[in-house]
Amino acid sequence: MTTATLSRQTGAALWRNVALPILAILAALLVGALMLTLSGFNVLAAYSALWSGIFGNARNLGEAMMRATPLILIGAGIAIAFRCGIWNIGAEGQFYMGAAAGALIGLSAGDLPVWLSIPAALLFGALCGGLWAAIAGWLKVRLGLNEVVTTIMLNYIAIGIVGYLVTGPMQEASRYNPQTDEIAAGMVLPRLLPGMRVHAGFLLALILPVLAAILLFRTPLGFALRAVGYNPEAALHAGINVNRQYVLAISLSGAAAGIAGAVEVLGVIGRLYENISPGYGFTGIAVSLLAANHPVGTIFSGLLFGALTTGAELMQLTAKIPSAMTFSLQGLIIAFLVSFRAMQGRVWRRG
Amino acid sequence: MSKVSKQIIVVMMVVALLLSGCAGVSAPAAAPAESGAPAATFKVGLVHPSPITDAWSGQAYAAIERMRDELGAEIANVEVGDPAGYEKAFSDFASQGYTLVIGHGFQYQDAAEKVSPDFPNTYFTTVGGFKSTANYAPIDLVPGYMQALYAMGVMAAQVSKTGKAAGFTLENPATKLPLEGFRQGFESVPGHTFSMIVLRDGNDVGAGKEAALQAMADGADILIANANLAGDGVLQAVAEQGGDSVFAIGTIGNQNSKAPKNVLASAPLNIPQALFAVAQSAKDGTFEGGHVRPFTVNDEGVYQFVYNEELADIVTPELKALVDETIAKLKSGEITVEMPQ
Amino acid sequence: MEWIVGLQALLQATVRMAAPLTFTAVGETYGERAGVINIGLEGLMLIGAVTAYAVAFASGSIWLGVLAAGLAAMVFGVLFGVVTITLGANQIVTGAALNLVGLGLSSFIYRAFFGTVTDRAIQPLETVKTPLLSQIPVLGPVLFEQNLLVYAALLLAPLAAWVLNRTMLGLAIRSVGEHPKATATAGLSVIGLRYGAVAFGALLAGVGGAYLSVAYANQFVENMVAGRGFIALAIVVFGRWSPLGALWASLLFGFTFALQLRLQAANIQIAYQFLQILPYVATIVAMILLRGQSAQPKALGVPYTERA
Repeated sequence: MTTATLSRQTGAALWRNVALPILAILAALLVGALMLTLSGFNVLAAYSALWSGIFGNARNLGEAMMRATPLILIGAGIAIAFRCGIWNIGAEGQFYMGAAAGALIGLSAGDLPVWLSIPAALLFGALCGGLWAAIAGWLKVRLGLNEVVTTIMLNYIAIGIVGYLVTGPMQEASRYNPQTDEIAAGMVLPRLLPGMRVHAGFLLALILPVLAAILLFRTPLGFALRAVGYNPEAALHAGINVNRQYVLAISLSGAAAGIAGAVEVLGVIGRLYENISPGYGFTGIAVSLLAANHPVGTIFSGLLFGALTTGAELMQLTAKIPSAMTFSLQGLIIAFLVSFRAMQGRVWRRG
Repeated sequence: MSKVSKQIIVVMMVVALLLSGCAGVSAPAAAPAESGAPAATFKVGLVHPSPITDAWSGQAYAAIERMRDELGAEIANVEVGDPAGYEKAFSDFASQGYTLVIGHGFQYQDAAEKVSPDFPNTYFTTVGGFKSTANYAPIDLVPGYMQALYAMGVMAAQVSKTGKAAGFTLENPATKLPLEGFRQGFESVPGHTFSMIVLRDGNDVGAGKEAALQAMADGADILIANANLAGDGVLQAVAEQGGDSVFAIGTIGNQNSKAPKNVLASAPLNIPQALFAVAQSAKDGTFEGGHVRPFTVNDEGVYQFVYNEELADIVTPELKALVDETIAKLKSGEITVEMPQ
Repeated sequence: MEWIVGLQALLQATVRMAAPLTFTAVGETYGERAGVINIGLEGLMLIGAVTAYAVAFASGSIWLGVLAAGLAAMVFGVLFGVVTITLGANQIVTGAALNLVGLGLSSFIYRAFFGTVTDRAIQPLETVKTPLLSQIPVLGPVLFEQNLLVYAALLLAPLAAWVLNRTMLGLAIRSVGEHPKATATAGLSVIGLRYGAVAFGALLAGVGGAYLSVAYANQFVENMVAGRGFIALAIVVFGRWSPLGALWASLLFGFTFALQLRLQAANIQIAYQFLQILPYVATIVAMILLRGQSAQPKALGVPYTERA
């Protein structure tokens, strides 16, 4: 490979993976500004509140990191599934299953040493999330059911099951609120920095995407997964067991979402209840996409979305902007990004 | 080194640069946040779960407006529905030197418990919950509301022809338990039965409406909803299909106008009154932490009844007297409302 | 006779709850038959719901609201088309973005303009009794004593089925979803047909959303669609990509939903969460039972490029 082609490729990669996302963010902020103006809000006040809500002090930054943790974990997992060409829209349900599993261990394993109990909770979360996702994978390869639909249905079923658990078998001892008791104090994930809520789960959110990237890009298994995503028929001809890759990819994806659920219970919420996720599973899709389905990239896109959520709170408090604005911005970022990427693809095909 | 890993490195470097640049730019602005100094002015912060235009959060907003007008408080409110954001909302207010931070719902109790020790100069309260710390005391309106709705149940039992009533609620004790009080009042007439319908989503007005129509088809002629906005659907169903045979009881606010021909009476929960008492104590410095502050019908002005004057021929003076008599018995302890198991 | 009254109420509820699903699912059936899957139906329905409410509130006319809702959703459908059809971006991804935008935008609009309005109810859409037909026992009240939008939903499905299966336009739409290249060779515009199908689908999703706010709840509530957009997506598959299938599947969903409310009302002691997940389990079970007779359009989700 000559230096010239190398630099051209690096330039292209830079353009595609850095410049386009930034352009998409700017475009989304611009449309957002238009929305705000049309609704009679002060754009400057709104965006400066958004800014200081993120970077205004160290606590806010820590908050953004905490909010980013589940999004990164889920996003990195979704990246694996999407790279393999299996559309896992079910991360929300897998997150719930992981949260339930984490809470179960967190409630019952308080006597074990921490080095055993916390990994056990995370692993059980991964297992339950992974198995829940595997159902959709199995239905796809064995019975030919469309995974987009089955994973959406499984979301509702998982939330219903958690609703049952917290009013039935797992409800707190006082049987008053629809929630479990608090998990054993020793199992609460330690906080990383004084005065910030960011917890040890964030480290996991830095490590897991790297492991996922190594798996995808450095192992034969990862090669097989990507080959299936690129062209399932060719992969089949090349002797790859396509069905196995599908089930594996969605299970890994579900396991990551399951870990996210367990981490949220152990690190932030401290117990399980029905509305524990404000749609992390769906935002996780956007996080993965913004990162071009690259697990390591989800660290940055996850942080961005985490920061948007944190910033929106101050925007609501000081500029009275409805916090629903965040969803619009997130959606617009994705819409612009996919458009820009597709436009660029067309330009390249022509040129 | 593969192309992909080069791409990753490039992306990471650029984003790291951007992030550090951002942090650098904003560094000066970060200074004045943390301060635990006692507040010069009386400031009240409200954390609520839904828009202030709905019945539940509107009550809390009305409460802080009254604190502004009558106690000269500086007020602010923030809507936080997302569990991961509860703690931040509390510590945001506290770190800005607020005197009193109110969490409008039992779900905020964990956050209040965790945050309150870090801000000893701020008082915390939540509407519902049973935890407490030295400077955090939740108020519990449920016991009194169970009693108030018990009295409504006794009244409705006299109006019902079919002996069947239905309640609509959400999976949350603050909404569910008051209807248990209604059940005990309604079923105090032998042979009367009450069924409870739990709705999945407090925003799904359509589901509330359909649930009410199903209950009506099942013979219920008294309906009572304590299910946030889904409860509006119940009242709509009664207004549209109830005719002159199905009646409803309004909850939380005065809902008589939502189905003027069918709502016999509303039992507004005067949350402003209860919270105002808390704010008063916070201002005087007589706020007591460390225990739940329960409210019952003995707390004057917190539990009220608004009878629908358009239905005066059904809600007769005799019935109103029966309600007063029941309340008197509840106050004296002659009647007690049981906590369901 | 009491059970007849009960059955009648149950079936009436079934039809009412099926109507918004029918609109949305029939529309999506068209889009998918043309080869474009739009998982952003939830977002489109929310946009429809808030637009219908806002316009009906401002103008006092529910029908103007419904019209505006269809048009507003159609605008977003066309934007979705620009990204997925013209630019060829991934349809699942774009649909997911559309859901986020719809959720955010509908809440934002509602709060920005109605955040301080307290009396927000609008006049409900009236029930219209069809003469004579509504006298038929049980079936009469169920099918012929509803509001006009319910009738529209019930009529829409057979009409849409007729167009899709019996007309040249329908043939063109179906062939675009199966063999777009062959369609192009035959001189038809693949892009144009797909835009048309997607815009029509979005319009109907908007009407489905409008039904929820102006015909059902008489108000807008944030996130009031409550997952119906996702259910409609399942209904399309469940209904084997046919408009009539979508109608039957919508009715089945409406029935399971009404039934769980009814069982709770009748004091049946079973964990209600299991009743609430019934519709979703039923979908998967039905998909399993109906598997094998694959009706999925072959080019579903595949962007079309003239050069490829």
